[in-house]
Amino acid sequence: MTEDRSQSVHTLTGAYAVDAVEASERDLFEVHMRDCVDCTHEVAGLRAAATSLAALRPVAPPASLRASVLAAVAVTRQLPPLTESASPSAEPSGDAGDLPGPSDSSEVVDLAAQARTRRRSRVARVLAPLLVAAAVAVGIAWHPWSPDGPTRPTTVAEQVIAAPDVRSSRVEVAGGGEATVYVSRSVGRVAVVAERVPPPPSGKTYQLWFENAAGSMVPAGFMSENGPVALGVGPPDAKAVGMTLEPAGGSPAPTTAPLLLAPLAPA
Amino acid sequence: MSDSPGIGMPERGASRAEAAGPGRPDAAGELLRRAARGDEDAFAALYDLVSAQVHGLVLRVVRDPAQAEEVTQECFLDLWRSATRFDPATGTGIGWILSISHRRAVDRVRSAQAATDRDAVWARTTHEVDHDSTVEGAVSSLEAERVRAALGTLTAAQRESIELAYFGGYSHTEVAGLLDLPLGTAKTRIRDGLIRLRDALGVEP
Repeated sequence: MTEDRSQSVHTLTGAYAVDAVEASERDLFEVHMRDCVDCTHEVAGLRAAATSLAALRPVAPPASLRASVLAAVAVTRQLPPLTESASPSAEPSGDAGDLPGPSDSSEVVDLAAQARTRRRSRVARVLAPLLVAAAVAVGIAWHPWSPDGPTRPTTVAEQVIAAPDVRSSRVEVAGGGEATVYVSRSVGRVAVVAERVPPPPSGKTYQLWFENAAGSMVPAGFMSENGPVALGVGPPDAKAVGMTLEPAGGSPAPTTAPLLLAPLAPA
Repeated sequence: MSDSPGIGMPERGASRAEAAGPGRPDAAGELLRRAARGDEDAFAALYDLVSAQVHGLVLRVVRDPAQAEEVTQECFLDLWRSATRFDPATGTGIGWILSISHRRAVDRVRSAQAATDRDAVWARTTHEVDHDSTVEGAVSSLEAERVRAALGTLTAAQRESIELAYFGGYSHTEVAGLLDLPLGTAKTRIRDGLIRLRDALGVEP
């Protein structure tokens, strides 16, 4: 498939390489890069050019910082090496269209694992396109980091974010962080990308909701880590997306005030 | 490109720009590889090698010295935690380190500062673009001269857009607003300028 390089998405490589993109554009572009080796390769080269600018004015930090950093390092665990399924985001819910009920114990949150995954997700987002660029540069066959074949199947969230009719809005999350809500009528689903949301307290979980036409909140899935998650198939004419803190395993209806509430535009 | 004889080991806090290239060992990458296996001495040596470059970049983006210190500390903690994620096949150690540091610095700026504060910061920035820095560690090494010469191949408009994006931490949309450009022009200038820079430097990722 030939790509028209005047398409605006390809011209985002420079801005992306210097982190000059808003969160929603960044998410969309990262989805694009998974299927566009040219952009991935170009980003790697432009990033390398940009980092040469950083070398122009070194400034030594205060001498006390060294001891402080090394003391923290001595008590900080390192991430284990990446395994072959280095997909940056988990897909906790929604693919089959079945909404998880309150007895879905697979959504119990592991605080440490979530923090690890969150860090891995952030770093993997930086590294993943560079890995592909290296494979191209040294001329070896492109080996995906998933065993599923030449292209990793796109997740529902990725399909939503990359859909031609996608609309997005950004909201603050009460208690910390932000989220971008993506809606695609053609895909028929909603995805939420959370950033910098703190892990929930032990024994609690972030639960997602749709507000239906009657104004009731119906379960839509769970948010187990920062990054993209697709909500389950929602009611027709859903009016809004919400998130609350619930006991681990979820609730049939919200028991706490919404941490985010994003209206959905009418179809 | 090589160091002239007599420079020897970098002093604590000083830095030497690490360039990739034939025959040029990637010292930061090698230290990252050892640090990835829990070698805290290697990480301390890495700190000594790159902390001024990291902090110089962070300071230029974040501006406020107290916040810059915090961000630099966070960067190094992040580098330690995720040292296993560095893949030498993807580029140089210093490139990986500065990419992560830049991202963290921009995240801090975007989350901490209101738009009005950032406009004031930008006004200060435009007056300082041409100053030679007298801050400790101002570099006149061969590497810095090479970068400055490469920057000379960009148009003033491209340099300005890249300066705002990379050091100002502005999105391309914000750069367009600040420079009163059509949406998309800033994005194009940033990309074209970086392409020229890449080609002038002959960098490999």
